[in-house]
Amino acid sequence: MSAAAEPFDPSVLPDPHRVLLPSRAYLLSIRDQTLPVRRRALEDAEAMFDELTSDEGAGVRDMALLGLIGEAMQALEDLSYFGRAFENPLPHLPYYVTATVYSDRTPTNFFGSLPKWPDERFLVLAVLRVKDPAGKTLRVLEVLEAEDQFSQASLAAIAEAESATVSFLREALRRLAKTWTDFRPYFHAYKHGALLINRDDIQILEEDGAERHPSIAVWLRKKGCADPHVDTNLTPEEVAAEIAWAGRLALDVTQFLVDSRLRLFEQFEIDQRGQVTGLQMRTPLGFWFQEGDISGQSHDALEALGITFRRF
Amino acid sequence: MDLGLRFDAVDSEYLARRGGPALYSHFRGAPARCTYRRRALERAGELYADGLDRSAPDPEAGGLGLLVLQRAVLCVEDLGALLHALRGNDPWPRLTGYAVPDIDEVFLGAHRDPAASLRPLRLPDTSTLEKELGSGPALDGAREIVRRTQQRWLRMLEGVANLWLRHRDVAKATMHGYPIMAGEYAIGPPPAGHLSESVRDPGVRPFVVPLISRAHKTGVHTDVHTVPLDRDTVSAFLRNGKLAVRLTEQVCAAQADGIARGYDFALPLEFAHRLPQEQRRALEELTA
Repeated sequence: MSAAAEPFDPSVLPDPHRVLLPSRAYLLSIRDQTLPVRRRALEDAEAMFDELTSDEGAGVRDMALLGLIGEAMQALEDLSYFGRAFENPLPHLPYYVTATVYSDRTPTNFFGSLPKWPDERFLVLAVLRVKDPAGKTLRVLEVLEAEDQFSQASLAAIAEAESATVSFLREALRRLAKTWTDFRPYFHAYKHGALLINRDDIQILEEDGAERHPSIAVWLRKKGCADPHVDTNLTPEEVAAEIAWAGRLALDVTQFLVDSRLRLFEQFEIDQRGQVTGLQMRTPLGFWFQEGDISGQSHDALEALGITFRRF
Repeated sequence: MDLGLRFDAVDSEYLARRGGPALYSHFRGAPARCTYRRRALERAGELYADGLDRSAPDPEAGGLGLLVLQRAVLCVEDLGALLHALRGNDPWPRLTGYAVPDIDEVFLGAHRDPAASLRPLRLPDTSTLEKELGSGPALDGAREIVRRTQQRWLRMLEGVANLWLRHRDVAKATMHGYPIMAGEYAIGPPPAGHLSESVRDPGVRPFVVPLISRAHKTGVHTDVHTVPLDRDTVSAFLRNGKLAVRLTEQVCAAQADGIARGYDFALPLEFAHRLPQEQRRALEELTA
């Protein structure tokens, strides 16, 4: 895209003082503070679980597995707060403000709502569509009045990449939603009192009297009485591999969404005092899809346009 | 599938009076849990120190400081939950169903009335000791142990309570969507718009700016403040987190031992090695 030809009029932008600059700082903080540290914490928890042997006591290793679940699930919780804030924010406020409001229902509501999402909501989440103040959904290039700068072939490639990105995000978030449901009791046990069931004291018997050994066992947090919550289907190593994979996926999805948002901010030339002094028009689109999800022709067209995309 | 708890040689009626088998099992499992919490906290401390040593960018170094805080506060919450549980007649439901204000109350109580905050931990008073031990070196030794334990536990509780009461909001925020801005991006340049006006530079690096908001009918109120994450501050997180782990270990060990022996009181033996030999031997004979 070429630079804007008309004189820059900052009054058309969202209020820099209340919206642009705080939002930008918030997104940069997620990119450079939250995500790197979440990755380090997850790696550390994984390494700790791997390093512990049964010689050091099964209970310590059980706690290390619970710790790994805790670190991974925090990444899922971050994603839910981010997703809610930037796809379905509180009205009349900068989007980031919604992410700073605590609600214990945010993760469950976010992940629980995903199966009902039409494609349009995934497109908004990935900043491939934006909503105008009236709630109407618009293509980003439409908002920037830039569509006429692209050939029909380029627009077709963009549409194909959008569709592939929606498919990818839908599947990734579906899997993370299942992880959230499956692992939530363990996550709560980890962070609220370390409610691990002591392996030395429990006995789990099948109806035929056969004894089973759990991969992990916790007490459910519940007012009044606490029931045990136990997995006997997987080995501890299988649980560790599954949850670490999900944690990394959640971090990657959040990274993609944050980078996509920040790409919008790269349009603005901001001086040291925080004044927006101009617009530097770039194509603010980012895609993420599986290898082979778009045609070779579209792939080449995106590359020729200099559009960012990731392959899974 | 049927799950049961099994213990050898414990009076089941007595066990029920002392909170039930699940609570007893929780006491017995404390060494493993505490070993993990301590090690995870130390590893976070190493990651933070490594970040500073390799001059990691401030946002990353600040995040690593927050990881130490988070893991330290998890240690403190374990202890707070335990103390909250032991303050009531139904400790197991209290342990598994507590809320954050319950922990606040525990640690506020530790400031308001330190001696009362130790009462649920069943350290024996003088008359109980006399009744159980009669007179002689065992009684003298037990009295000294109780005195030293009270002093030590109160000191530990003070540091742990401070950590919780000052930083639990930020630590919780790291577990609920991480609404925390890196200090560098808050103050800029370029600054973070109106948010930067509420930020006072603490003069140390790294630091962070938690944005903890509450939604009201009329809008959203965001509390903006700064948390320094320099070496001294993070060392204090580590120290107090470890104190919480040690206190959890000692309280659980004393409770488990009391239940196993059928005593209504708990006599921690951490300080027994500091007693005169005669007192130590007399106590060892009683507790063997």
